[in-house]
Amino acid sequence: RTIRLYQCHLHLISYTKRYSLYTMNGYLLSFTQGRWNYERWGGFDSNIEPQCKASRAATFTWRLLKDRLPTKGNLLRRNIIIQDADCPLCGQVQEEVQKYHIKTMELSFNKVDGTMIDGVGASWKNLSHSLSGLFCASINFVESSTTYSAPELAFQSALGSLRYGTLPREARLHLTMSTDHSDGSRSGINLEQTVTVVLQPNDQKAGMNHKSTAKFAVNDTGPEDFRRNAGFELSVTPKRVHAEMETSSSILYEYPIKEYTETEQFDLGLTWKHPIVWYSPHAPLYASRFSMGSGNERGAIAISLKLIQGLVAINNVKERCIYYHTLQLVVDERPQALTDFVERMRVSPSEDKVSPGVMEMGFLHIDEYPPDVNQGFGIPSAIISFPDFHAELLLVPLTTPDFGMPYNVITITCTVFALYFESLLNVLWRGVGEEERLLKNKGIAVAWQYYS
Amino acid sequence: MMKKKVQWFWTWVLGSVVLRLILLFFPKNLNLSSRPEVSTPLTSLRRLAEGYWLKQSSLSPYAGSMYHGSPLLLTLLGPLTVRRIEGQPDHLLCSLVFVIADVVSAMLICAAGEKLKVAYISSLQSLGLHNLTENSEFLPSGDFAALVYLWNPFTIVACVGLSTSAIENLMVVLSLYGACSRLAPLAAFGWVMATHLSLYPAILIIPVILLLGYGPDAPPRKLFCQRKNLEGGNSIPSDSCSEEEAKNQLKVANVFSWRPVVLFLFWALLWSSYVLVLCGIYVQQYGGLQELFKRTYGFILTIQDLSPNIGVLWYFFAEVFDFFRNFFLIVFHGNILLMIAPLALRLNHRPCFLAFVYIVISSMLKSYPSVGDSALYLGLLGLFAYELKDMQFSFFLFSGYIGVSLLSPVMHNLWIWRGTGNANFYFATAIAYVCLQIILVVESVSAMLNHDRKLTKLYTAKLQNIKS
Repeated sequence: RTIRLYQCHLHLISYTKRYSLYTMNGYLLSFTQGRWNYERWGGFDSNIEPQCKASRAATFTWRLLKDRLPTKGNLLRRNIIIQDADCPLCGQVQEEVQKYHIKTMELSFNKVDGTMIDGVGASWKNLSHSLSGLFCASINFVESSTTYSAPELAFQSALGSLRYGTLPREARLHLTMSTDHSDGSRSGINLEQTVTVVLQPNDQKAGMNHKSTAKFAVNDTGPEDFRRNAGFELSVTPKRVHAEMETSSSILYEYPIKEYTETEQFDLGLTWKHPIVWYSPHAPLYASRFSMGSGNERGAIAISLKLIQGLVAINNVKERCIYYHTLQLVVDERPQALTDFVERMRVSPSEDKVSPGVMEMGFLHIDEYPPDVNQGFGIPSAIISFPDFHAELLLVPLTTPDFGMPYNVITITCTVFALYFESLLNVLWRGVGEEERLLKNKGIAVAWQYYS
Repeated sequence: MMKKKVQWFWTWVLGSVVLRLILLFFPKNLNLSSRPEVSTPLTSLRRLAEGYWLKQSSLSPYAGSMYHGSPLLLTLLGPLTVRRIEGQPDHLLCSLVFVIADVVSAMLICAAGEKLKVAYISSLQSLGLHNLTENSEFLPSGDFAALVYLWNPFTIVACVGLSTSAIENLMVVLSLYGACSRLAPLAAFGWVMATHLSLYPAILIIPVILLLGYGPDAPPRKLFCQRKNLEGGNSIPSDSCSEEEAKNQLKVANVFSWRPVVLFLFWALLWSSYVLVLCGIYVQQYGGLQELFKRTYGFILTIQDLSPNIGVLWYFFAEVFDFFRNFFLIVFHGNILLMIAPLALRLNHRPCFLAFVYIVISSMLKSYPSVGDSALYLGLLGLFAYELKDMQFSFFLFSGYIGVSLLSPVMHNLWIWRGTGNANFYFATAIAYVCLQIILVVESVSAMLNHDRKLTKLYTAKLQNIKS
């Protein structure tokens, strides 16, 4: 089936008819450090637990938060023999995670109490300013309440502590370093700045388990048994195997490097025991959004949804002349009544510079136009909370005034009003003087008659 | 003669109604309801429909930046916007309401014109200027003004384009008719509703009070004083009945009657309280009267919406710097108030014409003007066709209005649709339109004052003849 949403004059509202089809049973860190291109190369196998697409920075930060970094304290705690237990930086105390990174955490992000709205506001402000300074870009524009929104229906799990802000198109500062060599050749260095957000999963829930990694701890009888019963084949037998059953389910294989010599070097190979067939499944929902109409006067925004199994749609619209009462719903190319399909509706009418997620557009003051005005105004993508789909961006052209002549407009208008005031007052005043002159003549005539 | 004349008048009235109905049933070709000359943020029926939809969705009708009109108008017209008849154009019932409002406005203009003519003839006869009254017998200014209003293209476009200015014009004409007829409750109702709908008719309280106090338009009051002195000074031998009648007429024409004015103020206070109570009941769950005033009259006075229209203030405040915005807001709104006192002092013997001048000035200087405002004052201009027959630049004004009417859609198309022009094209048309209105108001005031001077000369010459 195909459901197509139309609305004249550019608006989209949020409504929901949600089914709970997907639950998270576990997660697994990727061996590829987040470099694997799943959409292009596949790799999503239902036989294996859903994989976490973690980048290198995310993996490091996650290990930092879970205290899994190989600091000397952690190595000692796992009975690994080390020579020096002191911190290599200061040499005074034992190397621990907290002493390295806790201040960095405080400088970057504030802890957010999910129950406080003001808390999420302060955190949002701090985050947007930090990112703006880091990237030397206009990311701090999302701080203002005119550019973010709190779509409660689309993200129901984060009710009350959610901020959603996007900059559809932003001219980014491209940093390029170049050095001249004596031989005349020029080489450049491109700096690629990224931000990785690490989220701590709530692994204390009852439904969470680690089936894949728990397999390694089933038979704890010795190195040979682990070598055979694991999901992979080890080419070299470890000297010792540590299984931490009390705190977590990780397994540590120990290979002392000092036992190997120049002629017999350490070479470890991992071989999967079972072949894995990976494929890219089709998406359960396809969403497309486009603008309709012609010219700069009339138009509509349409969202096309296919293969529907329940959806939540919301769009962060920055538009002024929008009419909610012109919303139309077309199901399988036939118009339908809105109440038959829409279960819940949340409307936040646009108001200039006040309401969240809304900004005046189309006919703005000259100070309110974006830097490249003739490019138009981007409408951020609509949120379709099926499992977190997003529609593409839209670009709506602006109707621009002439930026070159504010003084001409001011002077011409003031001249016209001065002309009106002067000429009308002149007409009123001129009559008074003439009438007085007429009465004077009448007096002379009366005097003349008296003498005659 | 009389029957033939009435038949001629009603034939033209019926023709205008038929023309409106024909245009109403072909809206796809015209699409006038989205024209910036017709629909302003205050008079657009689509914004009223949006406000009504928000009201039905348990939201404030003033949420967002859509609806800024009257909650009473929302209550009356809102249910008609959602009633959609199958196979008919949208908002058909609202269109019929606007047609009825136009016809009723024309009938009231006709009735007011008749009263003005009768009073004017009696004034001229009391001054002894009989030759002027003989000519005006054959000039039905009321019928003429009503037909000018009905057949004005601006009125037709505002009606077919679903503009609520037809309702506002009806209230203004109702107050003027009530004042001409010395019906204080009716005049108070019209004035209160007109002020409630669009705030600018508040300045019409001065001509309405002058109409109720002094009566309809008359020659300058000095002529009656001179005649009274002459009658008292020289005892001309004449029959006592004629002399007594003349004294009564002089007494009526010269004295300001306070009883209708007090009655009008009482009824105005009563209607205002009633309207405020109704509005307070309507918006008490959406912020109360303070929020209502902020959304309606605050929206008018602060010019928040910078969408283009046929005035000049939208582009001015889109270009002016924020530092000077409040200063220019005060200057432009003060321009309306500045000319109230000089005009009232000079034209207090012609209250209906004073009302016409006030309407032209407010149409020119208001925040969101439209062609509905022009339709009103061009219709009222027909009431003074006899007095203003010597007005200069008449043909220039006529051609100018036609030119602006044709050029404004062209410039808007070049800017918004084709992109070959820019906003200055449309702003130039708005500047030309404002200049035309300035010429109209200045020349009409000048012609009226010249007419009064001609009456003075004729009366002075008559006095000279009597003395010699």
